Amino acid sequence: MHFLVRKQTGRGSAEALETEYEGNRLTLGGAEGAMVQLPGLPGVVEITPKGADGASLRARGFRFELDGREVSKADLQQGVALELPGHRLELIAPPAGFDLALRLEATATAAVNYGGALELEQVIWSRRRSSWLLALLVLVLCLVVPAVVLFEPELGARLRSLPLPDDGMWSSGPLVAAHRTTGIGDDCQACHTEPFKMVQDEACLVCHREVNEHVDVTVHPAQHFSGERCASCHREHNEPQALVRRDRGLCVDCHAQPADWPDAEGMEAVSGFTEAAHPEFRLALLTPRGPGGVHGWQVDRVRALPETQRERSNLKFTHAVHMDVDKVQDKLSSEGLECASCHTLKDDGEHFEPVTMDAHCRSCHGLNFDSFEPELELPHGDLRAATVAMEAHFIREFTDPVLRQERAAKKPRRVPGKRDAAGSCEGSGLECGRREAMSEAGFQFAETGCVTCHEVTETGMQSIHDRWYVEPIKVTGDWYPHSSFDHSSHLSLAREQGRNVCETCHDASASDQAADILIPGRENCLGCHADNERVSAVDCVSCHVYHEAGATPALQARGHDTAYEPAGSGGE
Amino acid sequence: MRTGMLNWRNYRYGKWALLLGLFSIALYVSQGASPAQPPNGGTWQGYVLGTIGALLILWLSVLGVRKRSYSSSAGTVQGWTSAHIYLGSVLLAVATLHCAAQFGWNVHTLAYVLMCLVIFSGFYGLYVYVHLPDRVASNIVDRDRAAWLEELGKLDQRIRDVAAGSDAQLQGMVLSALELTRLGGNLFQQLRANDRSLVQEPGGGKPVSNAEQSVLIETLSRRIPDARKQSEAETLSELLSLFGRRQVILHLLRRDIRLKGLLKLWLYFHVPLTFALLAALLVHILSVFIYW
Repeated sequence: MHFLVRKQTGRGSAEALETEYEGNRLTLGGAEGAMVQLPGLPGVVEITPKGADGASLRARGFRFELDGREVSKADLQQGVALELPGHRLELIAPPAGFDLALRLEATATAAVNYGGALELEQVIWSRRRSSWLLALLVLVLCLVVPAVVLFEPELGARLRSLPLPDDGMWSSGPLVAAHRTTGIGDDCQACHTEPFKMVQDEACLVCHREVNEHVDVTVHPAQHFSGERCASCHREHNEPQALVRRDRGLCVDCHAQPADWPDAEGMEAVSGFTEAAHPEFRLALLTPRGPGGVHGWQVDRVRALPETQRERSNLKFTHAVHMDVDKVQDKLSSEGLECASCHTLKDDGEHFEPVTMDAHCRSCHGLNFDSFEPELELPHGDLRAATVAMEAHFIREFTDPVLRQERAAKKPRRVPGKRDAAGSCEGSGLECGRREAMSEAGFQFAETGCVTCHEVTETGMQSIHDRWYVEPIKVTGDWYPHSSFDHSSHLSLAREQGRNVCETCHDASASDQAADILIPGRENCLGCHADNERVSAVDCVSCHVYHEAGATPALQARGHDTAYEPAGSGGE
Repeated sequence: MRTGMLNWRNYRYGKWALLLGLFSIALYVSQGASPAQPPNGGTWQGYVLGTIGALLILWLSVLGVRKRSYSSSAGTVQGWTSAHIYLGSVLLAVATLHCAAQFGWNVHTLAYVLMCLVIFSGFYGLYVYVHLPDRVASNIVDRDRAAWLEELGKLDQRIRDVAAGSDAQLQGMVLSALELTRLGGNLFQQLRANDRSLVQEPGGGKPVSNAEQSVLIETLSRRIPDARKQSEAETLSELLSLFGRRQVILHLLRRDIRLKGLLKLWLYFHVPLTFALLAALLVHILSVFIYW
């Protein structure tokens, strides 16, 4: 279609500028895409021919006044002028070759209008409006929406599963890796059970059921610990992470001034790890109750140098002999014994498996009791079983005619240090058997055999079963129960010490009595680990723990709230 | 340079801010390097720094109220502004020490970031307040914008009158240059002050750029030597001088729009961000205690 636009120019004169346009419709306006540029028009006007000599007009982006009403559409007729903002518009008869002709006249006065706002306020949201919007946005997204989890837990759970703002945005810092787990890491209320209330111990104890208090509250005054929450020490959401305190203050805040704790018996001042700042270690000495430990053993804590103390284990033994290669050799390799020949480290890296007769001694110290049958050995560890076994064996040997005959004909195998048993006997089988058993028992309990390692007391009674009492042996398994130690990490000393690495601290080769205490004292540790050594300084918690193994379980001490009981469990 | 609000009463508030900054650093350092509790907003020092920061934010926000209460006798606005600048700057240190520079994707860091945006937009505002007023004044030379616009209006009317005496082709060009002159516009057009004026050249086609009225001035000056009549030459000369003047005024107005825009624009960030910050601060404080 072809359009003709006649613009009236000048002031009231009949002069005009005519411009031709081509297209589906004629567009007028201030925007850059408009065919006819009409600065000052707030939007765009589209004119489409309609009928023989009419046209329809449509305004986009603004409305104009027609017959006293605000409209955006109008029909144009020839000879009828339409007033648009700043312009008068009128259809005129199109000359030949044109589909539509339009006359335009500017009606705006001399006031300058260059199609653009000159003030910032006209083109930007007011400060009040954007202030409200931003503040409300922050409140809704960061407070109102996340707060749903406080009031509607189910809705809150769904919120957390969706990429929507939830209470996770209230977190003040990352959790430690162990807490970043399902059910805790994604649920703030797993720990923060009540709004505006600090995290309660019950929340911790839901999972940490095995944790102990610091002390046995039945022995120590518990009130000193009652005000301390788990979270008083275990602070979450920290950077850097500090969930577990390893600092000296954890211990010395209280232990530096024992005078402040009059109830704490035996507490000595500790302010660090030097000779001045840390007391001598306290040995756990086993003391037999009753003669020979007949009523068991009790642990006495003695703060003293180990070399000044004696272990009362009832054992007869000497490390010096066993470690002398000229005196004792391994049966298979014929080489001297090593520490590890008898001592096996437990999985905890600190303690050792008990040394037992069967595993470690019997291969050399066999309990054979009849030189005619040297492969037969007495049972160990049960006095009655041993005497019964001897008696039964010899009675059988002399009562059964076939056995008695064979025995009389056999030559006994002579073993140095062992008694030669009788091959024949005058008398009944019972008499002979009992006599031989008693002879052998006397030898075993009083000369060689049991008496090699055990303290044996003769009671003076007649019966073979009651005549001797073998004192039980109790070897200390844990010399320092309130501290921990890692043997494996100290094996790095082997680089310098080689196979004698154990003897760096335990002078076993020089020990010729079982009662020697070979456990090192404070001095030995201070050599490397004293605060002022700067070689390998340690924290209190390198050797000690706060939640002592022998202390009261926290679940018991802190008044376990049944509300925290996991569903289905029946309580403590 | 207008630095009255900086050196007000011999830098009184600068000194206050310095003291507050030093106090905050001392407080932060007193937290020590305990492995049991690293420095952050949760120690008592952290709470104190946080309280100072929150009170500062509230007080700094009140400047907007004080500015509007013309009858207030609570200090001069200049004094308030000076304090606003210095205490606002030191807030950056107070808040950073409060949080021990620990950040994350949470509402607490949001509050911090909003605070930084407010403060840095304030720094920009300070820069423009110090440097731009002189440039505005030297640009607009003793007249206000309305006076320049009035002259431009008269100029355009005169151009229309004069152009009526020229041929239709030139008249069309002149009138289109008047009509297609662009001044101001949307935010970016106001601030960039690019001349987007157009002119419709004879022979139809799309209007072409008439930045700084150059097409018109060039056309007119080219045609003067070719004028066949004395009157035509006079008309052309007058049009040329009118367009020259028009070029000057339009250029000046564009600069004025740009400079005034820059003077005001930062407040459109500073103020709404302040309200967002106040909201985030509220959420920060509430949320910390909801999940204590």
